[in-house]
Amino acid sequence: MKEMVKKLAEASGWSIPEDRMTEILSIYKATADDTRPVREADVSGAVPANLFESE
Amino acid sequence: MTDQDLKKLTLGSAAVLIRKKEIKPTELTEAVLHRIGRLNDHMRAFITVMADRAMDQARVAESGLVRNTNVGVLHGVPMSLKDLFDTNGVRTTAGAKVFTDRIPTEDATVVRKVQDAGAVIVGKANLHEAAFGVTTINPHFGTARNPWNPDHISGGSSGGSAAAVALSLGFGSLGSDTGGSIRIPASICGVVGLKPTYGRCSLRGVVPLSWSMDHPCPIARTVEDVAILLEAMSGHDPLDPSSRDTPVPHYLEALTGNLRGLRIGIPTTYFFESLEPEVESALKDALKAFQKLGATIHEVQLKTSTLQRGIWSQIACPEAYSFHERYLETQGEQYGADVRGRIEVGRLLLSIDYVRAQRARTLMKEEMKQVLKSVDVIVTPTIPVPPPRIDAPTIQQGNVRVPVGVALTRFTRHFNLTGQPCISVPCGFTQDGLPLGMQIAGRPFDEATVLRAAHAYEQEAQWNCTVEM
Repeated sequence: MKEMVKKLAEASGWSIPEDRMTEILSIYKATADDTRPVREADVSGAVPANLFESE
Repeated sequence: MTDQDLKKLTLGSAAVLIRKKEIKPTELTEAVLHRIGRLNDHMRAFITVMADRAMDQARVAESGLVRNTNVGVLHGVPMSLKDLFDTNGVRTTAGAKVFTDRIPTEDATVVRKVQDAGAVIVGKANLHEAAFGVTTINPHFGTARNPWNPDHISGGSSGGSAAAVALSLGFGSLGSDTGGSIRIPASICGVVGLKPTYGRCSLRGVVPLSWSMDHPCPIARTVEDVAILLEAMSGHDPLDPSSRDTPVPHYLEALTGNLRGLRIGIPTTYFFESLEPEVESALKDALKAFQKLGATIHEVQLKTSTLQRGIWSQIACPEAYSFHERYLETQGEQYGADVRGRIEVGRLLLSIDYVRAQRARTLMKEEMKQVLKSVDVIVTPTIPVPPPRIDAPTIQQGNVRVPVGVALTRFTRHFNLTGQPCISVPCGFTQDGLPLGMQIAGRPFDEATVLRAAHAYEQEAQWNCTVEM
């Protein structure tokens, strides 16, 4: 995962300092765990929610 | 005016006494400022106290009463603003060190509205840094402490607003809610906090966390107070693209006390799982109170609730990063450790993840729309646990220990994603004397029904939410 996060960061123009890598990896992993159900959800037939609409 | 006198007043009762000229705005403001001076060093409800300006506003309000000029609903009433709301000429920090010297030159729209209604602004309330957290343990401006037990958090991110209101350091406050940031501190501090429908109140001049889920909110000691504040701050703002051009009702007229025929939906899975026993017991008693008032209880299903955490993160983190990007690149070290990494990870999430999350969000909204055809409101606990201690980074939730932030946002974020109105009202206390709260959510732009249900329950339950401090 460390290499993947490094590559993602570099693709966005960010070179993560080595002394922050553990922290960023931990947060990224926690976020990935949270978002896995969304990646696995069936969203076919749904369009993106309009940014500024509540209904 | 003594502290005891202050604590007996609500926003509504103070406004009436001022209009009747039985209390002077200067007398009331002075008493509030004196109490702030006595308590704020320890309780840290405020980042900036606006004593001189508040007294000037109070004097203007007083002379307005003498001349019988047009008196607004908040005329002469002292209140506070979460330090996320731009205030002309007053530093507005968003709780972040990087904005310590940021002084806006224009009021946020909702700030202008409450001031036009006559409010006296006593100060800028403390908050979790960048509004991105739920404890208001702020490394730069101090920790906002719980008025019921200062060893416990005030919640967040509008923790300072909630603490100020509970302590009678002002009779209401403006806060915000992106993932629970008005309802969580309202529940934890034993006060009432309403997240209106997305677009009900203007976001112009509010420092953003996540544009598509930010909501400006009223918070006060009673439902009536929140209704008064909501009406004052609501309305279309053509300069805010999120603002909806929908009429603003007279919300006080909704507080009829009549719940006969109201259908209450209880999502028994997810929202009623892994509850601490005291929370569960309080909710059961609250449902009995609703039934006594004539409402009916119906079990409903919100199957998408298990996705809320992931959807919220995939939307909020990139949006938050987008706002903070230029500050993080040049002054990243000024951000607290708690917040910096969580915002920065937003730049690592893929655009396809953001789009997928927004599509899943549509499914949530569609599901809620269907559910709200068969019931009028949804009731859930606001948080699954009692108010956490300041020194506890994790808390027991069922059989596991989880980070405090995970526990506290479990039930609130769903209603940010759907954009519907949702209020937190006190529904009891733990054996240790800490407040418990209940959420009531309704249809978009039907704050009236939400307020009606909350008010009727509040009047029936009669919880004594006056702090000893």
